[in-house]
Amino acid sequence: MSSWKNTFDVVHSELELAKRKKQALDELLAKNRMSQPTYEHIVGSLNDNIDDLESHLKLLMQKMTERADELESQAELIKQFLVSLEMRIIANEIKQDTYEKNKRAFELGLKATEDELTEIKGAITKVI
Amino acid sequence: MQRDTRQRLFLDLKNVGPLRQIQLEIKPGINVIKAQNASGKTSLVRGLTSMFSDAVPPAHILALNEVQGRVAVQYGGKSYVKMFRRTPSGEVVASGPMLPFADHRAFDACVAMAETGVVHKITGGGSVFREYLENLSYGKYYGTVSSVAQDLVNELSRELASPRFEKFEAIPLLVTELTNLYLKREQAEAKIEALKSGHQREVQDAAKRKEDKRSELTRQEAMLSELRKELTSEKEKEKQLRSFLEETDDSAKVTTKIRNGILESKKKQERAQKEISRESAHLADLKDELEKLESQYQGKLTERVRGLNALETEHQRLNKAAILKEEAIQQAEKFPEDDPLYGGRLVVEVRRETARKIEWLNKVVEYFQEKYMRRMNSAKVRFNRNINRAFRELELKGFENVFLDQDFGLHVVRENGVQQPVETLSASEKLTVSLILMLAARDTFLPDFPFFILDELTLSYDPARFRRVVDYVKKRVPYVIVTSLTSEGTGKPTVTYEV
Repeated sequence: MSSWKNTFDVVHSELELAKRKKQALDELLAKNRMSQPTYEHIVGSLNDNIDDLESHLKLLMQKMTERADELESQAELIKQFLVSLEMRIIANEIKQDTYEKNKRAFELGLKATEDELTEIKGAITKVI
Repeated sequence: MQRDTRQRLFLDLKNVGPLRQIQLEIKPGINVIKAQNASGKTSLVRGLTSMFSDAVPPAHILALNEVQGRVAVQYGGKSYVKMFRRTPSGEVVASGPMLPFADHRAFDACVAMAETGVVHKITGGGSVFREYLENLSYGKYYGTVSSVAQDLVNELSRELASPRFEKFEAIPLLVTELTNLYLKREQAEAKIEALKSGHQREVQDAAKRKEDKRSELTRQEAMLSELRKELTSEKEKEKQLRSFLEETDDSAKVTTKIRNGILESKKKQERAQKEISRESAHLADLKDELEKLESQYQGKLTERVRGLNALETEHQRLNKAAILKEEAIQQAEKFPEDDPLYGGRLVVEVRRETARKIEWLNKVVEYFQEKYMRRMNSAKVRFNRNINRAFRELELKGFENVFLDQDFGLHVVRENGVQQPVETLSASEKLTVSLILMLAARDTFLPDFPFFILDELTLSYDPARFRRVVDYVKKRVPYVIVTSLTSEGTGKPTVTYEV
């Protein structure tokens, strides 16, 4: 996740900067600090850059959404395992120490899954 | 009676090489020009060559000790005269018309002299004939156009990469720097705004606290006033009761009631007095507090916001830097007014024009390179075919094949199939290969050229092989001129004819 997040953050900030650069160019044009032909020349390549970054970000968002769905299913599954574990301890099907060991492992897994999910959703919300 | 000049060619030379004056008739067929050493055979050939090609420099034609010379040819009923003149600076210049079939390529294809052209190249061990075919096939012109266009492309590309365009190329970087300045300036503005609104809130809070205290004070004053009224009223009541007591008899019941009333009133007065004292003290405290709050409010109202000065200075600095950056961008998009080539013009327009020129020139390069390749490849194929034909017809022993490869390198294959490097051939073999190449060149590129000249090449050849070469040429060329060394004669070249 962290590498995805890093890429996502870098692309997102680059996109923001590119958009701000376009604004700066617009300001220069409005203030007559830059001629129309020069503006069109510079803004053309900047627009291409913005399009590329947006496509890249869209792709990353898609991947992250898929990953979020996957994590939600994973969290649901771990919760079911926990319920099942509780039922088995009540029915005396497993020993106390096995129960505690498994419960600890499931809880850790659930926490890691939910943390990652929160991080992804936070990143997605930032863009939306 | 006028001479019939349709078939014959008359040559009249004056002051050419060692020849003071000579007139010769060249007839269709084989013309053998004989003379002793240093008697002017090669000069004669050079003089004739000057009438159809400028390959021989005029200085090599005019006699060394003369200032003026002449080569005149009568051909096809017309006279062609070329004059050679030595200028005061010693340079020799030529003027006058060429023969109607003149072709500068003929020197390379039809004049076999030991010291020039193909013979010289091969005897010197040369084995790459690209330039030779470029000249003969006019591929050189396509190559030259392509090369000149490529030079222009390079020159324009260098121009685009020159310092003149550097500032313009830096505009995207300047825009990035300007954007960063804008962002920093916006951050400073936001901080200033936050500080100001924070201070405003503090002033409002101080005002509210002051007003609240004032209200509390007003309420306190009202309450104190009520207490004082109550005290006054009780005093009046006591006074009244005392007057009643004086007027009443000693009826126990009434007196007791009045005295109780007086006692009650006294107690109320004491309570009211205590409350007035307490509330008066509270009122004094409130007045002190209000005074402090008023002072605080006035202080807040007039105080300078902490940190605002530093932020405003930073904001001014950023604003100045942004303006300078904007000016730098404005300057970078135009050439300076004093630029000798593009003074005051927009760089982007000049760039666009230059890029269009480069694009167009690249098309020219591509077009002419393709033309060059096609012409050269076609020339090579036809040339190799004619080499092969000459080679077969001359029935030269010892060789299997002679050809030019794709890089125009000459390959000589011996009868046993072994390729022999050109530089290792014997003198007569080099001569043979040279002649085969020249004959193939003539057949390929100048099939209608009427001369073929062999200048003193008999020295390296046995008579039978030389005869075969001459006969081969005779079948294809109207005028074959062969110079030959002899120990007989008067010293002047003479011609013998074989029709």
